[in-house]
Amino acid sequence: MMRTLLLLAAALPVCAQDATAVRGEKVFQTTCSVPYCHGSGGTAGRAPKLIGHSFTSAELRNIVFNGIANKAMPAFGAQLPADDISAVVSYVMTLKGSAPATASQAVSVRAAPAESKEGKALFFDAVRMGGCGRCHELEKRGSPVVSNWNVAAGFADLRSINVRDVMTAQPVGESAFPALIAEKSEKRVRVFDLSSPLPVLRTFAPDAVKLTEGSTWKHSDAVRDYTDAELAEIAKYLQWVAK
Amino acid sequence: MSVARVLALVALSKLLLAGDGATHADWPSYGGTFAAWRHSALKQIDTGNVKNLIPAWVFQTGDYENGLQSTPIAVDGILYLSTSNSWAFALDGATGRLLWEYHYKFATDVRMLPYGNQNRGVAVSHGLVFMGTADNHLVALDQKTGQEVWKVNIEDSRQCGCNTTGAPLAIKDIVVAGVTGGDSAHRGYLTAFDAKTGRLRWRFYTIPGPGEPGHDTWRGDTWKFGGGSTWMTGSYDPELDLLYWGVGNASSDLNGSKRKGDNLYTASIVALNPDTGKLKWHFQEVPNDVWDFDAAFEQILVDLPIGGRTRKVMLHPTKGGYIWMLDRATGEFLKAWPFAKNINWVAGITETGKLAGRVEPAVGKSAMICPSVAGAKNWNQGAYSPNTGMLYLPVQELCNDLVARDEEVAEGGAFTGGNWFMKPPPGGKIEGYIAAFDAATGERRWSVPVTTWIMASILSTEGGLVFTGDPEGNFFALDARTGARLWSFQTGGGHRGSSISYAIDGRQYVATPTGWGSLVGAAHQALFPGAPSARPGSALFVFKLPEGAK
Repeated sequence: MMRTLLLLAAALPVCAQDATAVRGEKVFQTTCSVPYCHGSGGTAGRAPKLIGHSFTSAELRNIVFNGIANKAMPAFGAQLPADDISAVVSYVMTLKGSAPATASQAVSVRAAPAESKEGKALFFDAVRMGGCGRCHELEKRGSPVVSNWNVAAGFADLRSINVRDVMTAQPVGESAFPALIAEKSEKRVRVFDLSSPLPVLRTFAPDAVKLTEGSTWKHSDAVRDYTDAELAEIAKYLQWVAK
Repeated sequence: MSVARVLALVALSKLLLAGDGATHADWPSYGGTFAAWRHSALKQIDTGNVKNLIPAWVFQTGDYENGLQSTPIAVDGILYLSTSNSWAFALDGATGRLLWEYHYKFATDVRMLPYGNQNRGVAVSHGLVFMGTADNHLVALDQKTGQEVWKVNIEDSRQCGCNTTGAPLAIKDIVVAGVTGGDSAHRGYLTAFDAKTGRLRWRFYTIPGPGEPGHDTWRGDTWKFGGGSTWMTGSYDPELDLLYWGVGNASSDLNGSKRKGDNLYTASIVALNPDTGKLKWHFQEVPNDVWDFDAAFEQILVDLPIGGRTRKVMLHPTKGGYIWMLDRATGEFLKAWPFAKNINWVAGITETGKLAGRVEPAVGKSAMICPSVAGAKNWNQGAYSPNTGMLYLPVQELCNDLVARDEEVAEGGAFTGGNWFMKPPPGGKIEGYIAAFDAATGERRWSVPVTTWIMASILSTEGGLVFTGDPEGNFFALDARTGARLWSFQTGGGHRGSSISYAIDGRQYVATPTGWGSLVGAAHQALFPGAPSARPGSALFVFKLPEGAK
């Protein structure tokens, strides 16, 4: 009997914590996991996923209490009783993981200095349908269509870049197009079709397409939407990335 | 057969097809047909025998995240189904046998996206199955094998804060894909790709750029981040050769002070030339939207007697609780009528289609607005029956306190411009129901309450039936004329998808996706404390009449 009581006593703090977390889950369901905010169980909604987050409990308490300035996360300090805030923090702490999951961590990219900011904006310009980012991935932005480019090359003239990797693909029953090889095996050939402003990764049976060296495609065509001055800004940005 | 006879037959079949938005053996497109009636002409299952319906087979997708919100596509006896994590399946429609499956691999981490990983269906044409992905790619798969044929990145989802969750629309020789992003600092667009090669055909920006008509309805550079997403699927009229798409809310959602002006073409219907992507006409329902009232939902294309003559109209039910009726050839406003009881964001809509008596949220001040940002109806679609002349809608009476807020702009970042706190209607409670309206007059014919709300689409059939499912797992059939409940089956998972009907070898089937989830789905317990839980899952249930039964 004594042994049982001792065991119970030892288990008590854990149980109490669990009970708080259970209550916190209820608070979460009714206050945080509401339409267009966090998803149920801490999955992603319009608000970020909380499963696997890496906040400390003090950080969480501060965010829940004060909100995040200029963001959708409201301040609950005046809305929820202190017990509820403690409970919901306990619950969200049960979702903690080692993998980075917060928005700030997911996009932990060096901030570009003032002199390369304009170049960066031009490089990924949404008004130009993504600009250079349609083919190039840098700093977790853009599409990695071109995998083997060397930013450190310090491109002086972005119009006259040598593009010897671009080949000519001739599919059966279709016009030839400029292509970058993505995969070539016995089973299939995958190439990026560069004739489209948004490159298309196309898959062929090996005997359904013929690839030949060289192409009429020029990098100057890809950057024709930019002025010389804009390209100079982009070059500044690339030089900064290369450092 | 003589040439004259062939021509006569062609003419006859055209005559029969003109104005026929019903599906037959196949369910070829997201809304059933391009007219988006979600009505099947099949009538083997009818009001008399529906009570005998039994499960034919069940398919478990194995993708249990975010529920199953898809619309299966049925072509020549094969069903094509997509799931939340951008997986696609081909299934034998009679037996449920898996013919092929395709698991898309995300190029970027989609978990951080504000719109989540979910998928509402595929499109099928040219021997290909087209699917948008949660990381904003469009893929084309071989219809026979499921092998990838082409793939294109629509825009880097990390940059735009947008992705593809809606079903593409395959018309003519193109496939058209919309994107989310209406609650992000993002400029919306609609993109058309060559069906066979995936090459870009055109992109229509829902917010005009400098020098384009309508650009002056924006202030400063707010046009670059003004929302106007295209997150649901459009309609197409082959005779008029016009592509219709509903454009989402303006962003930031609840704060219009920085973007004073109409903010074209947000919260509008746009009619485009499908070959060029050029605008033919537009009609804006909510100028300077500050309530998150998308015009994104289904556009139902019907020919109705209006003012003594038959007109080609579009019926468009929206979040704000109104059904808008437009002339779909010209975009002329014909009328609008409320389909929900609790509407206070406007006092009404004028005879010329303008909003009267706007009640707007203000910075730092709470305003009680009905309906809520979740809408009097959300994306789950209604149905139109030519048999009864009725429009069937899932309706929810739900309000919210809106508080606007000044918010910094960061490209692709959240840009809601305020907060919402869900509330029951003043002096009432949150309720959901299915309502039937006369499609021409707007007169309410019947309404059937449910325990909580209906977040699944509605299917209408020529057998005089209306099918849908509830969050508690019941999939059920109502009498299309009276709303009387005729049959119900507990599927074990909440209903969040769109049921369809199809036929193989003369036998009619009804298929429904099951499995609760999604942004709004997450709120269920909060909105309905004490209600039976809505179970997650991801399975397709298919029903038929017993062998030998008629």
